[in-house]
Amino acid sequence: MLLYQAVVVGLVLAFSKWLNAYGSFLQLMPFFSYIVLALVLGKSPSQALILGAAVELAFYGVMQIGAVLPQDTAVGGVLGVAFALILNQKPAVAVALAVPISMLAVIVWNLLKFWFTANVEVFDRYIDQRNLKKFNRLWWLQIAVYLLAYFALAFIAILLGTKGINAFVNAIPKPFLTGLTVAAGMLPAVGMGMLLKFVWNIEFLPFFIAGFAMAAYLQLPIMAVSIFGVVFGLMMFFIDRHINEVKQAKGTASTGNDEEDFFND
Amino acid sequence: MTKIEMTAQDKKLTKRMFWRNMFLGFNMSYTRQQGVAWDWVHAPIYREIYKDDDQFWEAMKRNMEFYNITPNMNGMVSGLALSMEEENAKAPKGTFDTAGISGMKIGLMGPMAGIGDTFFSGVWALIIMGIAISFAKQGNLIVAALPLIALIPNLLVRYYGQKFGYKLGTKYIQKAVENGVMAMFTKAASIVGVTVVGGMIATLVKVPVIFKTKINGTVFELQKVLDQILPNMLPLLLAVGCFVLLRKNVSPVKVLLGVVVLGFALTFLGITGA
Repeated sequence: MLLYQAVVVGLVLAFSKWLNAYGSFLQLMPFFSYIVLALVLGKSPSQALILGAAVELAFYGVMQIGAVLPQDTAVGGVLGVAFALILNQKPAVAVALAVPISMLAVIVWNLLKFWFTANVEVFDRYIDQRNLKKFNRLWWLQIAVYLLAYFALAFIAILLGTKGINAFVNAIPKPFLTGLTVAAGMLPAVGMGMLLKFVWNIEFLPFFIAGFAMAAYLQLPIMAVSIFGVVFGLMMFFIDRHINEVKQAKGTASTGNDEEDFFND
Repeated sequence: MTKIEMTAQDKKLTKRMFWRNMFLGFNMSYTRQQGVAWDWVHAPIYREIYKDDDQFWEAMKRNMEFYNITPNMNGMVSGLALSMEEENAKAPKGTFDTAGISGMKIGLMGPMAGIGDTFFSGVWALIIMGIAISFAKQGNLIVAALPLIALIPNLLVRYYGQKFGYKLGTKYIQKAVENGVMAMFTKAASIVGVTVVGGMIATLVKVPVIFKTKINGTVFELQKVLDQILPNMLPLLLAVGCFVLLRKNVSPVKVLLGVVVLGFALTFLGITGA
């Protein structure tokens, strides 16, 4: 039983990591993995979604900018939800497992990337040798190792970790679980802070206040706030475009005058 | 605007490039990032363009350089590169300056990644995940159908970006970068993002205060008092606090651990609870 579970969770994680890189799809559809996970484990997909929602909330706003990966949310999410599903645990437990796993899993990616970096030289050599076949072979070998690494990670984690985690989770005292639930609810603040840091400019302060007020006072749903956001964005875009046009028109006019002045002197 | 009609061969090439570009995020390295992936994506395209073996390998060697972009935005750069490589193939040997192709890639990857990260990782992922989480919380399986909508911008930008890049050529797109249109787009997307983040802090961040006490016989509920001052005040303070720390370059891991410790501390003190 545990062996079967370890194999299927490994496959789901490898699949998720494939979607992570392929067309950057996973970023927009992590719940897809959780539904598949529930189906292969013979658990309720709705339960997987409830667990997944708690986990994704804790990861909310954590984004992969360029090559920098602060937390591997794919690994944390799949393993956290898988453990909670197998052990029939609460969402708070899924979060408690997912967050530390996501932080540790970055190590795997860094190791893989080191190997890919060492191979760049080999790719260069194949190009010098004009050998497209070997070039392609190494390319697919790297992808295979990448998928296999994540399969192995989940396989070993489930096979060797389930028992220990079960004992650990059962030993957690109740007030600790309450604290965990509260902390999980507060975690999206970190993601929000990361996103703000990425786009922040003091000129955006009015829009930030407007967004907050619309949700806090007017109780508008996310979709409505987003639509107003688009309205603000478009308004500023057209204003900027107008300013730009005026600037450029002025720029050409003044250089013309300078030339005239020069010739008049 | 000069209109270039695409030949049947061009159409076949761009279609192939569209699917190969899905792999741009694989096998990144520290030294070249997506340099190797760029070559793998475009190798069959170069093969079609350059009948001459020397030219093909010259193109492969030339394009192994450092490259890093939001993969969703690469369609446009690929389209442009295709039109330039075709020009190079047509031109008599040595008359086309291939440094222009590298220059175009280096010049565009910054602004493209700027707008791509802001829009795809920032704004769009935020909105879609906000909706998805609210459905998933109730165990609603409709979330499974959400990718059908969520992936539309991703695929459209990839497909039409490539088409426009190929048709419009360097002049138009580089002009858009130079005269600031690209920067204006990025700014507009950032404004959407900031507005949504403001709203999300009020709806998604939870600091549930349960502290209650009796003062002179009247019940004092802290949460009610806080709500009268400003609804969702604590989530706002918490998020702004995280933002300020991150801006001071405190590492995200430390901020995350700090929030967890704070959550436990407040709960053990009896201020917050589930």
